[in-house]
Amino acid sequence: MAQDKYDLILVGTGFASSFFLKRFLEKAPDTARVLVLERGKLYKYTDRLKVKSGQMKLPEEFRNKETYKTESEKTWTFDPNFGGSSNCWAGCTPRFMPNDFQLKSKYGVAVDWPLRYEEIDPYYEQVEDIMSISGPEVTPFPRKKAYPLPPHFLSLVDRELQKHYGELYISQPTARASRAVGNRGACCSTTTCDLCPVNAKFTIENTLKYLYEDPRVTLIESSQALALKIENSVAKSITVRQGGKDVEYVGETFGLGANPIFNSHILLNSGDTLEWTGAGLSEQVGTYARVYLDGIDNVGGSSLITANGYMFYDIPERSQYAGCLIESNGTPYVRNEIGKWRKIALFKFIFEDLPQKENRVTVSQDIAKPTIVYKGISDYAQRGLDNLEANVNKYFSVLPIERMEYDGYNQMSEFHICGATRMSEKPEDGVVDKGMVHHRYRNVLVLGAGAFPTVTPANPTLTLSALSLMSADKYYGS
Amino acid sequence: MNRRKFIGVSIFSVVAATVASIFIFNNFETVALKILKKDLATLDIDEKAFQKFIDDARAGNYWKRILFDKQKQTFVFAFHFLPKIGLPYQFKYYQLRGKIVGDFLMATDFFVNKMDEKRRINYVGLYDPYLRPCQNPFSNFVYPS
Repeated sequence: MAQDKYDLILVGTGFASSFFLKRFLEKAPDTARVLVLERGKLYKYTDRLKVKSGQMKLPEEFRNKETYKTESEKTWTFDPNFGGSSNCWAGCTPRFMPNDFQLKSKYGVAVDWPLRYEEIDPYYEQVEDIMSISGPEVTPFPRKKAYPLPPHFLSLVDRELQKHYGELYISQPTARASRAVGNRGACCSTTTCDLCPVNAKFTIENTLKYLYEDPRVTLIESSQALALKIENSVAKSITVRQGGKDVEYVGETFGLGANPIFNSHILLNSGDTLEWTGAGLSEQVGTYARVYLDGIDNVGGSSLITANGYMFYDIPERSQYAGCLIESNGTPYVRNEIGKWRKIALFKFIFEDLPQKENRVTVSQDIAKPTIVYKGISDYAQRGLDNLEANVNKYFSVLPIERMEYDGYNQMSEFHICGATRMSEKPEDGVVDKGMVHHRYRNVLVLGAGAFPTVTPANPTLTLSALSLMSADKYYGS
Repeated sequence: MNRRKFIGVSIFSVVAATVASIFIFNNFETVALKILKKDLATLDIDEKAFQKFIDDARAGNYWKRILFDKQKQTFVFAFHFLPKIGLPYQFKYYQLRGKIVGDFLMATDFFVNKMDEKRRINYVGLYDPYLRPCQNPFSNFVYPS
């Protein structure tokens, strides 16, 4: 059943969609009509809190359901409800390093992005303002103005490392507010950031929900987008599953803002035959190590991740193996030894990966469920992991260490799904251009981290949100 | 039955009886209790506090909520009775053992009192960040810079 035509039809209500929608609404006339399709529903923050504290049972509609098929052990984690993964993210918002956009030209590895740090810089600033990021004065990536909120505190161990490494070891820039702001409380270091008990973390619900209450916007929940109907390389309508029925909505422009798995799946269902559509699904690789300290207590930090270390992130060896971002963990773990309870530090080492073509999203018998084929991480990332101990020995020797303990295995998920609709200059090398517009279907924007041609060590959310603002500016004119 | 067979059967019976008694008289909770009593023996803690912690954890579905699932519980249980020398994953056992001890101490006033080992340690109640947020005892609130 065809219906009225919308100026913009957006899929999803997470970071990618919401930042695009924000910029669109700032530009659009009062007569504009936007349809937003959300596969899940609003699972209210207050209800999530009740469930977490045992005051309420998890409603059936929000219980985990199979959303994709795979034979791989690797898991891909996301929240398929209103606000997307802003509900469960930890709020880590480092920018990418300038060289992250130029791996090929700087290190001879993989490909360059078709855009440079300088182009995205103003959009980083805007997203940092919208999210009220707390961050330090000095950072390893260039910035033109101070973060909106003051930084979180470093622990005593962090301060030792910062003493030696300066701007390469900083209080983590984060969307965990260090001061109360807007509808958010101030972070008090509870460190359960997947659901902040004091609502300090930026979420779509606590800051951008008003977008979906705009009279120009119609939000339809429980609606999974399945496929675009394409005629002569122009998307005409989108087919959506609602309560077991398939419904069609007609639009002028379509913005796919689901996660990379479902964005690429929608394109594949639509008959997209570009070589890279669905290919290169990837994320970073993370592993933990514990440092048993001699004579120093790891106390005094604030927030979940007290610091980021860049000591072996962007070094000459990046031409040989993956760069690594270090996270200093501020959760209340202890060392089980009398007199040494907090003489321990827990670090996470997060390595970049290079999207592998064989890791991909494919269609399955069920049009609503993609199949994920995942063979493993790249040799480049593996070599980064192989060099971890040598680098830790080199850069952590400034701490009074009794012993190190490496987990020796990788986390099942880094919660950062990237690739599968990668950005490129030419359609042979990717799916979207640097404005996130599909190479073939010029009225389809494919938003989010699916566009990343390489997966950097840094957390992707700030960058994908900045790309959404930039995309709306490019598409609709600044 | 010759002498060799008799010795073999006897050894097997003793081992089987020992293993059976481990399973009959122990479970994850009894092992956790033993760990707490042993690892915290030098601290001034009323032994009833250990049992209270175990009981509260059971009643509050605590282990499941903190993702200390059956697999981890079984691992700790099994590893506890094995000789530790030469076994792989020892570090993981000691990490999980440390987690049990740490979570018990988080349920007391020990960390709030800045890890004073000479002071009497009192049980407060299970650490639940959603019932008692802002209680990270190692944060800058407790250790301001």
